[in-house]
Amino acid sequence: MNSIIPGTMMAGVRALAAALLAAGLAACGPTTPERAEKPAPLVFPSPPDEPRFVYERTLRSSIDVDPLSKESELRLMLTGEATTAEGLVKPYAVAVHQGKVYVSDTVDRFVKVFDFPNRKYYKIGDDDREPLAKPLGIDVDSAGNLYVADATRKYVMVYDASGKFARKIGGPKSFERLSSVTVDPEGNRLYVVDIGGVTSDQHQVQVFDAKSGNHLFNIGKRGGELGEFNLPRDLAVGKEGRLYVVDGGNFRVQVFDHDGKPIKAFGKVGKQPGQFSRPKEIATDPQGNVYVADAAFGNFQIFDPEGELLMFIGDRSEREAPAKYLLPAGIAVDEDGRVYFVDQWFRRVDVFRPAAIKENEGYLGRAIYPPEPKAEKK
Amino acid sequence: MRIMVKRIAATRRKFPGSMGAISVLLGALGIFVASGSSYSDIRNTKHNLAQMHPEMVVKDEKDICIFCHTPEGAAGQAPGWARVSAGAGFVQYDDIGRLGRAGSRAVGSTSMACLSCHDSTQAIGVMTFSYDHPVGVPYPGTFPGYAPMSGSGAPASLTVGVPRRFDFRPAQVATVDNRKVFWVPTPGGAVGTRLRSDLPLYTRESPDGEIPYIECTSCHDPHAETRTFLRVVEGGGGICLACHDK
Repeated sequence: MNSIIPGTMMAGVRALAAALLAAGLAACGPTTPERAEKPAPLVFPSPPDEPRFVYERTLRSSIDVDPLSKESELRLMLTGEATTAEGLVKPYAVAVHQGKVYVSDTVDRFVKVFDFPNRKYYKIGDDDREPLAKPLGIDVDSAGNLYVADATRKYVMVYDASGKFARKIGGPKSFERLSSVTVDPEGNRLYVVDIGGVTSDQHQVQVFDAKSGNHLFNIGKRGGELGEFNLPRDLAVGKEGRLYVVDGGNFRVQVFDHDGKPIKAFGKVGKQPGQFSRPKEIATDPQGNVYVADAAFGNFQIFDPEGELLMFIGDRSEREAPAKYLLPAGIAVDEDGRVYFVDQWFRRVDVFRPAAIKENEGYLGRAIYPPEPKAEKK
Repeated sequence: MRIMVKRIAATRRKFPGSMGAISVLLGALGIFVASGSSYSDIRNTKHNLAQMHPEMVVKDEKDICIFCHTPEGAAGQAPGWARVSAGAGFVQYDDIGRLGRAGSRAVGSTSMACLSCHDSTQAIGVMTFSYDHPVGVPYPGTFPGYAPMSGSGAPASLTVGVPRRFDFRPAQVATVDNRKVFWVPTPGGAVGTRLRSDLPLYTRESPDGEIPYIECTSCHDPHAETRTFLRVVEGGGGICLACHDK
């Protein structure tokens, strides 16, 4: 070949071939999410009511935080070799801290982290000496420490901000059946929800000192009166340090003060707005509004701090789509008011942004749309 | 026949004496005694979510039912941030126990009702489908005498990509409340009569007609006092052989 075609022409041919190849590849390559057509934003409530939330994105697998690099795209097209991604198997609960989204997976037995600021996906709970058996409710404090309720081992497992196992709290002697753990925003107190199970009377919230692990006091016992629980599922800390507890078997949310004194309860069993059928997890936003996930309704309802219904988002559908759910469970609200909602059946986390902030604002927004111009990925 | 004997034995335990004798007689004649005999009493099972130890007595028995059979509820709250039409309740999973009345607004199968609690929090977690534990799959057996509902436009045989298999017992079909109802009969009943002990199949609508599906409650009766609420427990293979003709 070299003898027939002179060297300079060969270089030109090579350049042309490269250009054609690049053009060909660009034409039939996969479109990156930024270039694809964006559908009209999904707002809640729907018009003519004033929009309060906008559906933003869905998290299903590691690709959602760590998209395929240009090299793996090219490799996939030329050789068919795919970079493996990891998806959620049966996600249950979610917690968010400064753009890092933590999701507990009950079947895969890890807490999966979608680290948006660092564009990384990793798993927590891989410690050989202290494995995670059944991670259910989780929470993160302001320092980034992760607390995981392990229902099978009956411990609250604590991991530091880098994901390394730090310590465990409780144990089979303390807990009957763990459902969830919540840490107060300052990181001082740990509220552990013991759902108890059907045949036990130990339905209560146990309060620990988050730093030392010392047991402080218990809230409630099994029953139907104010201050008593039947199958409590989750707890959230709200306005003025109030504790909001999903009292599942009594179909209500109970409100306690910071020291565990019962204040009031709202909700009752039924299918109407403001009522509960299968309330699961609960979260509060920076304004103190209360978000309650209901697996039977396929939605989450938003109440003001006194228990007055504000709105609800989501309904049931057998066909997957944003804001359509079959078995929702976990819910969390981050520092900017973004809502993260987990569906166990559809294996995804939907993210809703408050209509007041733009998509590049807030911890998650700044991580996904960095303010300075992005350097070309090599 | 075996199921009948078990039922009679349970009746005799609950109602000793003459009542028991009459029940045995009636049972032998194949008539189901409905006068308070408890084939299954949910109060004695783990599905009694209102049980409070040490007192097992529940003040209002309706309190046990509402855990799964959510009542419609009186007027709810009007949401402060959104307008909703009056009386618009939330749509839940399939109407439990009502065989899907015409016009029912159910989404998802009855299995969702079970999975909403059986997700490892308050009860054993269930991972949906596995070949040893079929949930939410169409029943592959045959349906002698099946004819789709008129107007559904479906062909005379169920052909929706579910190959009919003959190593599954033929199921039976009947019309209840203008809806097709399918079930897998267990030994001991007359043909065409659906008994409490039979395995119900749950109908899902599709463009090709109604398709019967196996759901959680096809094999498990959530009110039963049997081990893991199974509808059939006797015999090696018990519940499996009810459908699999091996």
